[in-house]
Amino acid sequence: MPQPIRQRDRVLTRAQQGEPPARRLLVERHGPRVWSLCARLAAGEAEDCYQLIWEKVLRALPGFDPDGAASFDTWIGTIARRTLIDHFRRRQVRGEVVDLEGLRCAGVGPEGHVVQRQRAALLEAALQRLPSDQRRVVVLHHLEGVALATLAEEEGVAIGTIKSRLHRGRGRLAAILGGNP
Amino acid sequence: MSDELRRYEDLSRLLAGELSRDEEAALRARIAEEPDLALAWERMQALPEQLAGLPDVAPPEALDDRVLDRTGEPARRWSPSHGMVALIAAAAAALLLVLWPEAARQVVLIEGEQWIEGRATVLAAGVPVEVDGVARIRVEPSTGALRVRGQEFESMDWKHAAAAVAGAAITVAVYEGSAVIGGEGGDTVEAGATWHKTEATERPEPGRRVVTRTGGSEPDDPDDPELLRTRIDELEQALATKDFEGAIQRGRIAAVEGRPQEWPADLPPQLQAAGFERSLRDGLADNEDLEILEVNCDEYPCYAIIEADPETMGPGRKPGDGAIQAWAETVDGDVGLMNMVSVLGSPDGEVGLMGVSLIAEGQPSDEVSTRLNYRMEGSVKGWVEDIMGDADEYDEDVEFEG
Repeated sequence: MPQPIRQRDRVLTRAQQGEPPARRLLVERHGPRVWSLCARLAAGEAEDCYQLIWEKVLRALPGFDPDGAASFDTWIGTIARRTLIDHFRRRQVRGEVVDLEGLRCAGVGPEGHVVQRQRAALLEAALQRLPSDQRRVVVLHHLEGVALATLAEEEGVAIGTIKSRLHRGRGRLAAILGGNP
Repeated sequence: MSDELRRYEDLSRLLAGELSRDEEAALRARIAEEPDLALAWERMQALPEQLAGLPDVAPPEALDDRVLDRTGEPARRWSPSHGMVALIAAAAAALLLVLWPEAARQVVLIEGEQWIEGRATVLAAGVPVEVDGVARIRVEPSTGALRVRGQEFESMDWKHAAAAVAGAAITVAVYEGSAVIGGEGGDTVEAGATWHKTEATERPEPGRRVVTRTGGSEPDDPDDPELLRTRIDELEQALATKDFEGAIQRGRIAAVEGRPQEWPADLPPQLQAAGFERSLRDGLADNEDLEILEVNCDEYPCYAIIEADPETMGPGRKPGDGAIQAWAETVDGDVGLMNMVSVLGSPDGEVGLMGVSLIAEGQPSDEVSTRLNYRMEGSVKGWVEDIMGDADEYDEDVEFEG
């Protein structure tokens, strides 16, 4: 099997041309990822965060170059991340509350996954107990796959600071999951 | 910071390989001696995988509508002038048979363009194209070609039928993965390449035959043996041409409609004509969101047309919150669940229709898929007409990928 090349996404192309059904599909397709970021990193303001990110994405969409260096996934992730970082710079929000009812698992079947869902819920709750700077590094690095050096650059801090936040965050998470908050 | 948290941080640094050699040796020695620390180390090692495995979370319902409204989308309006064309487009978009959880789709493409994402077999103007990846397939009939709208043939003309097959241009552009054209042993097109066919397929040309008369006989003499032989030759040629064109036409119809299938022996009761409807109704009895509109067991396999909440029918969703799949899982044996979904606009909002069928042996043959596709499509179109009535009264449409 050859290495996949960049997929020319017809939905994306049509959305760039302003077709409403395609824009809707694009939002539905990438919505869970964006919402997950907002729910995890901007708890309590997740809806505002979600709308703000999509406003930026849809406004910039016609200018996205499908043949450019960044894939659409990368592009939308960067916009989402930078929006969140700007938000935190301005507001220094610390979300300490988790609404588990609002965390509807997408793509998890109803049967046979109770244990996994419980574990996921515990981990989500533990994430919400981290200070926001630590949570941001843990989520963006482990869930979004962002390199620590990139995070340091985007947050405007030294790489050592990012690593320290990561270790503190992971340490606290492991402690919480072990019953030692 | 507590010693407890500092200890966990050290474990995180150990995981990242950031401790000095001495620090690492000391910590590993402690892990070997302290059961609690060993457990904590296990938790730390598992943490990256657990985090990466956290599922994405669906946004609250209606939030997407608010997002799109705020960004200027005209709330899913569709020009009334599109009328039935738009509705047919919506139905056509759904005419892909999908086998849960993952299986190849089969698409019959007479003309126009079809994007394939995933694994599918496309019968493009009679040429099988097996896609595994992302590909765009386009069929452009030659001038005077047979035109097909849905299942209805327009401008039926024997000669044009032959020309359509012989002269159709087929383009296969592979963007990801690969495509095999022409069946087993055919051309393989890799990602980044495009395959194109414009040449007529080799087959006898139904053209005119030049008749050379020899002297000595009156042209109209019915008893002239030469003329009689010539006429017989002409008639045989014409007959051969008609046979050929008829074969093509039958092949094209078969490619679209498929052929009725024999009922396999030893079917599970739920797949038999006598048991399908009862099994389905029992299976969906607790799901009020699913209404069975039609059950058809005229041929194998049986299928049902079900009205469902369109919110559950988007890409990657499981209509009826998995109730259909749960029902299928109650059937013994290697059974495949075939599903066709369509979301239509109506004055009262969206209407979701789906065709559901169970087949034996898990994977359908191409013939079973084609025939089932044709039968379900006919039923769905009938229900579309029933639901929509005068299409021009409806101006909403939602289209999504198969």
